[in-house]
Formats: sequence, structure tokens, C-alpha cells
Amino acid sequence: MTERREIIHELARRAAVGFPRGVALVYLIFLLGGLFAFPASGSGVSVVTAAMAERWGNPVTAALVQFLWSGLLGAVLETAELPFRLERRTALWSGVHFLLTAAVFSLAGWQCRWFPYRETWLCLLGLLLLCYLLMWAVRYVGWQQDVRAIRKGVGLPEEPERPAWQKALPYAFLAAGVELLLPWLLRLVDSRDVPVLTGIFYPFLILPLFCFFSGLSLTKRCRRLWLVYPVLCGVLTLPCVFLLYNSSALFQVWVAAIAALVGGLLGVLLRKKRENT
Amino acid sequence: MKIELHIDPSLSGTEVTVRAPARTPEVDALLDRLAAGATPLLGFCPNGTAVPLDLDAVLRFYGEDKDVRAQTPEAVYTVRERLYELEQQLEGRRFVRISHSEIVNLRKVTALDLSLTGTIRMTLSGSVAVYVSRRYVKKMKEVLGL
Repeated sequence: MTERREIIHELARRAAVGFPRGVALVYLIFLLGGLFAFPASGSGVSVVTAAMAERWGNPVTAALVQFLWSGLLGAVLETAELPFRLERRTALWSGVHFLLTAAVFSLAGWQCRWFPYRETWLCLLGLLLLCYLLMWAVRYVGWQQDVRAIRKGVGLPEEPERPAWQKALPYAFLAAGVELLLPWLLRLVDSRDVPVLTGIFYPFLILPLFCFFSGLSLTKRCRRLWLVYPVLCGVLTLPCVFLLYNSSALFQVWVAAIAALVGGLLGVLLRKKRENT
Repeated sequence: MKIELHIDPSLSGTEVTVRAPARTPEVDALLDRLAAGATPLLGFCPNGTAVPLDLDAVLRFYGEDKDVRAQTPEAVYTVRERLYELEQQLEGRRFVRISHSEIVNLRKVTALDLSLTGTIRMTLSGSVAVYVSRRYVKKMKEVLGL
């Protein structure tokens, strides 16, 4: 099979996989949104917005139109990733991928009436950008591991060990993104009466999970527990505690610091276990 | 090195089996010599003169102006084979495809770096810089037995 045919085949395969994924993701968000809605609607869970149903005359037609747009969004997300594997200019393609995804997402959202306010649209784009930055950081760590393995495979000398603070830098940026920006973005899309996202999901789920796994990953990279990171995780919550919440949210400092510390300690334990076996 | 010859009239062609306790540079060199003897690779100078290519000296094969070139530290030759044919011919040796238009000799790699923008830059002997497509990273790792 020639390279061109191979690429066309791969594009078609990705589009076929992406379409149902996009549909499933959008309808899952609607279903979860309906389940966690407060106050609960008595008329069951809706899979399209009221504005969308009104635009197309009835909910069934609206759901079918949304089905097509969601599928298109999923297909674009999946196929636009292919150039990453073909091109060497990764940063450029990340930018192109983000712009393409943001454009299709905005178009689909406008057609399906997903954004009741302009702020909702801007906030969701901000969340999308944050997801890209997080994915970039995670992938970069993977690429570093690949390069290190290939260097070893071709017999090149290993890179000199970098100081812990340099290894921790990407994690510190990530923590700053999650703890300084994410609560503001979530507040924009949050319910005005009961802020479920900023009041429950962020402090009790997103924040501890992020701090735990990033602490675990950092310890694995540094090969030792770096105590500055849990402190940093705790301190970074302070601006949002005082600017977005109030002093009753000070528990977030401990949640972040303890989760990062526990993640780090688990990393140390796993490392010791691996060394012993 | 122990050499044995078995004559078997039932065989349709010549078969060579190399048995070794481990894959060493000497074994690789032997495989290269055997393969080069089976399919001599010719490089053409700009004046049309054909020279047999020493695969050990080749840094890379790459596509340029619809032709395929072979670069050695001293010169650049044009070869008749297409890149996908070379990829097949050079399989099992320390040559690996790193992008749509390039096959490199892994024995000639002097540096490998990842830039902040995610680009993997490979330096070959003589400061020849090439770039690795992410698509071929997995293949490279397979060739290196990683």
C-alpha cells in the first residue's frame, strides 16, 4: 500500500471511529448534566437544549441535527490528530489542531444552541485550551521517555541528570493552570444558584485527583520525594480561595497539599518495591 | 568463526544462516557483507559514474527532486531504488525510516534531542541534522529492540 493510500485509509478509519465517539460524548454530557441538574427537572433528562428544540420545531428533529453535528465534531477531533504523527512541526500542528477544533466546536455549538451566553462559549473555549495545554505537557513527558530510550538504544551517552527544580517546572506550570485558572473557568459555566462545579467537583474531585497524580508522577521522574511540590500545590490554591470563594474554602489548601504529599509518598513506595523485586 | 557448508540438492536456492550467541557489531557487519553481496547497491555520481556503495559509510538515504540520494561523509550519490524498496532491502540492519522521505543509518547517530516545540532532532556524523516524524518513533524502537 502506498503512503498516500495509507494516509487516506487512516483518515477514513479515524473519521469512522471519531463520529460515534463525538455523538457519545455530547449525549453523555447532556445525560450527566441532566442527572446532576439542581433543582432536578421533573420531566426527565433532556438531550438537547430548549432553544435547540424550539429552533427545529420538535425535540426529535433537534436531536437528529445535534447527532450529525456531534458526529462531525468527533470526526474532526480524531482526524485532525493525524498530522501529529506525520509532521515534525508538532507545536505548529497543535496550534492548527486547536484552531480547527475550536472552529468546528463553535459552529456545532452555535447550530445546536449549546451556548446560552457569549461568556459560556468563551469559557468552554478556555477549558478546551486548558485541556490542550495539559495534554501537551503529558505527551511531552512521553516524548522525553521515547527519546531517552532511543538514545540508549543507539548507544549514545545518557543526558546528565537535571536538577529536581528543572524537572518540576512543567508540573508547577500545570498546577498553576489547574489551581489558578480552572476555578474561574468553571465558575463561568457553573449554575448561578447552586455552583456544583466550583463547590463540589473542583475542591473534592478535580483538585485532589490532580494533586495526587501529579505528585506521584513527579516523584517517579525525580526518583525521590520533592517536598516543595505539596507546599506549592497548597499555596497555589490561596489566590482563588480569597478571590473566588471565601475563608471557608481554606480547606482546599490542605486538600491540595495532602493529596500531592500522598501521591509523592506512594511514588516512593512504588519505587522501593520495584527496586526490591 | 566456524564456517560450515552443507550441499543439499533439494534446495531451490542458496540459503545462509548465521548463528551467534548474541547480536554484536561483528555479527551486524557480517550480515551487511552478506546482504551487500546478494544485492549490490549502486550509487551514481553527478557525471553518471556508478560506484558500489559501502553501507557502513552511508549516513542516510533521502528523497530529493523526485530522486533518491545516498549521503556518505564524502559525497552524495543518486540511487535507482525507491525509498520503500530500500526500506525492505535494508530490513534487519541498523537502517530505519525516520520520516516520509528519509532512512538513516543508526550507527551514524551522534546526538538525539527533543526541542521544546516537540521536534525530535537527530544528528548524524559530520553534523548532518535530520528530523524524526512521530509516526516512525514506534518503528525505530522496534528496530532497536526496545
